Amino acid sequence: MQPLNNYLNKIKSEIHPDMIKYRVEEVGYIIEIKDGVVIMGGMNNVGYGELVEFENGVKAMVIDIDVDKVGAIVLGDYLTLKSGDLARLTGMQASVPVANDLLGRVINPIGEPLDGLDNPEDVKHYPLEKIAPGVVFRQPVKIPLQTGIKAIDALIPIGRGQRELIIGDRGTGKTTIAIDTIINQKGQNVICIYCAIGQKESKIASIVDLLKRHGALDYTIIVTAAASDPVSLQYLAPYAASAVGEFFMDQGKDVLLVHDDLTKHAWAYRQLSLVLRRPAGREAYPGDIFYLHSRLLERACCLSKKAGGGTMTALPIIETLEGDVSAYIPTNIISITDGQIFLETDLFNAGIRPAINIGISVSRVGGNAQVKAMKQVASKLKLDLAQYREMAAFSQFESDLDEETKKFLNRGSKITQILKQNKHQLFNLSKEVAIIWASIKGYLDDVSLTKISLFEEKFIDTISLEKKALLTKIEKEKEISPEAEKELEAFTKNFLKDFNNSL
Amino acid sequence: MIYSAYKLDQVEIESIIAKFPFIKIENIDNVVDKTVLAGVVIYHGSQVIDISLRGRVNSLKKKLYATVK
Repeated sequence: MQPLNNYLNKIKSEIHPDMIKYRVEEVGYIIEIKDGVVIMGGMNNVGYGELVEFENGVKAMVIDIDVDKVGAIVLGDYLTLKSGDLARLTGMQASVPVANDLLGRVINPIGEPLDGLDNPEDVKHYPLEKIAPGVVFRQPVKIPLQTGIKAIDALIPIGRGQRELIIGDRGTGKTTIAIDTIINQKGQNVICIYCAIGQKESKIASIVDLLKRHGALDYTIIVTAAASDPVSLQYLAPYAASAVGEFFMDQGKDVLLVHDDLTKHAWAYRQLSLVLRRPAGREAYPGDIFYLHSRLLERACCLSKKAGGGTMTALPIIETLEGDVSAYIPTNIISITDGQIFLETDLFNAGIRPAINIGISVSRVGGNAQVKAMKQVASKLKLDLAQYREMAAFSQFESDLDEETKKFLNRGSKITQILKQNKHQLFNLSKEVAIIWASIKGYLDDVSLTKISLFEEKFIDTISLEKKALLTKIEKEKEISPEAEKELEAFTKNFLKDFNNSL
Repeated sequence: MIYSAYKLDQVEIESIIAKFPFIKIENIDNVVDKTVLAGVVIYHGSQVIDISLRGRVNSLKKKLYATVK
């Protein structure tokens, strides 16, 4: 008994009224619960974006402060809350836990794993909302981000740190382009983040499976707020994905961020705003819908060497209705991004896949984001295609054409065929350059249209077997030197002879 | 408003107020709530000062769960 008594006496002597530490906490109480939103009273010293915790552990983020009321979006199950519940201010900004272990994982916008595995260890917390780096921290976009898709890499090049919009109707292959780009980053030291907003769970599952099969999941993180998740989570998903991206960008790494898609994100925000009774504007979107997306996409950037040299490339996706790009959200995002890839149903149905409308797709970074080898072939390709488009429209009215026009038309139709590409069949830089080189030099002019895909397949197979050194040379030097061009020419001539004989 | 496990007498209330000078004596209302267990919980506007045993136990519970996870 003696030791215990000693112990108790010691405790007694240590406890003293002056010892009691206390903390003044701010609390409020729930007045109303709406779809994913709670309206609270009290909280005299609440801050915008502050995290609030309810008694049962559910958290909410303050996004609306009125004279006597506070509106917050619930991060979790809002059905467990009831009116009158106490809410405690945490004094923290809403954040997402990030870690290097996150690679290959599927998480929701508040960082909870959805793949049944354990929480990642050694986490840091990155704020969901962050002001994008200013001018002094940035440098121009220069390094290319190879998508592995010929039409994009040659004509609408994407640079690391660029924001390139993918826009088109449903079922035109928008997600496919984004996923192919992720798959093509294998071995390129790029961390990919796929942010699914309001997608079907089945689609997300098939994407995870696809990435796994192509060995792309090892460097990919999937942030998802599915169609059945509360709109609050759908609204936060792209910000959470950006926060995860910033974590890797701050380590000086290159990040590719796909937002699939921002139309549904705008819908989610519209719903929240209407529930919060904010004044509705055009198409019932609230007044800050432009800022919603501009502050998000502005976070994608190319940091200068001084700031660590990391980059974050964003590929937002927008779904249009009936090809209407003059709707509110598409025009907003077109004006924010550094270019867009237009996908069209007509082209898709005509068998031109990827269904990119090259005429109206642009990349405002342009040739800066191309290596020399690609520049060497792309300029001629662009010219040929532009002439082809002009002539094609013109030739529909005239029956007999002069030789020169026929030549352009023939060349253009072959190039159009060459730019077709099956999904998930990606080309590395040297192969892209080789096949485009062959087409612009006119080696395909005498191959019939129906044989082009066969020609391409065999050409790539043969060149990667016989001229491996040449391909690695182009890959390494990133340009077509005169010697390489001679070698390519000799090979193509030989191959063409064999090809014609084998038919 | 002061929540406590038993009805506080005037001396106890005065000693609490001596600790927290921003609370005015005329606003004080003592409510008995057995779940407080010991100590007091003071509500002042939207501010709360929790110096009760319940609060301590709850925070210990939270800490335990956080480490187990």
